[in-house]
Amino acid sequence: MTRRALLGSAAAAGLAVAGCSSSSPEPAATPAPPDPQTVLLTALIADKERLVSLYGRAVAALPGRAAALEPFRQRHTAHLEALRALLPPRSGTVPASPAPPGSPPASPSPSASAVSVGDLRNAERRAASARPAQMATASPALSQLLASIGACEAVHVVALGRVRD
Amino acid sequence: MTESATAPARTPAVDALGRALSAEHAAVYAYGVIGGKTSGPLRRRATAGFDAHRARRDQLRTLITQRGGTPTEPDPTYRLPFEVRKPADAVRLAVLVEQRLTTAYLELAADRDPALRRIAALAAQECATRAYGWQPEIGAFPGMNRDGAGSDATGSAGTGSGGAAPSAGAESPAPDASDAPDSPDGPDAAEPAESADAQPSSADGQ
Repeated sequence: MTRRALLGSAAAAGLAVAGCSSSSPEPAATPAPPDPQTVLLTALIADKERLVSLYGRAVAALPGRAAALEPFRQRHTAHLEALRALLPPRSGTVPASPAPPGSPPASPSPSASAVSVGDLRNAERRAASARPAQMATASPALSQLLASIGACEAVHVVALGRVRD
Repeated sequence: MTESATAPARTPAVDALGRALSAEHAAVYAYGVIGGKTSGPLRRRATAGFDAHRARRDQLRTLITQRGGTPTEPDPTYRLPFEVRKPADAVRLAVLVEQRLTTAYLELAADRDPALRRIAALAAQECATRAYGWQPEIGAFPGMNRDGAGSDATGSAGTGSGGAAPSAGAESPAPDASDAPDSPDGPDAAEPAESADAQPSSADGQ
């Protein structure tokens, strides 16, 4: 609720919000190329989905750590939902995007290898450190969201140090 | 800096920078109080936070000046949201300060200038990490306010509704922070405090 208010303040400052065309002066009449924000969001969502699935693999590999890891996974799921909420409605059918720049190549198959807490930590660190660059071309609302998500991921890096066995 | 009698540049960037600077001024003040009420590892943590916020404050001043604005000076004193008597109060205040700053940097993260966005992103990560160092709670969306807008940690006209305490468990005297070794900053600063697992605190966004 207050999060939306915060995002709203960016919009009120006269800044365009991704997916919100109500204040946009020109309603793209021609079939436009893919909206860069949608492309970016789609890549970010795919990234986040990989992170969530990484946690799934870690829980499978480390049943003794499942309870400790679950809150982390839940927060990533919340991030995923927040990112998806910024997608324009009609882009729900956007095909899976290629990996965004800077992200590792397609994740190996789920059973390829066991995932350790250290792997999670590295993934969180990579995710957090990639946020500033991703924000450069993001809409103001998305930039703000990414800053917050990156902060959570940075905290995760530290917090996972307490889970490590 | 010259005295610019003419209209200063009131751009959104300078406004957001100015609010971040005000929050850093307040943080520096608060950390002075925090340092005065703590000792040992907590005191070292407070000193590290004090230094970090002073550095950010100076950086923000420079950025504002570069953009034609006039950096605000700190207030001579700040009204704290609650009386800081014990180390546990100091810890609570530190968490509040960091949360408030994270919010200020999220606002800056919406600026058009990618350079400011980058600074904001890094600063928000540092603040959130420091907050966790003081009190191991994790929200899904740091800086997206959980504690209503009015309850200022650090000074500016705080209404302090309901005692100004955030949702963070104020009654617990931050047991783990007191015995954790000092490792204030940086995602790499793993803290081997076994007593307190990260609590699945409620998501911030709600």
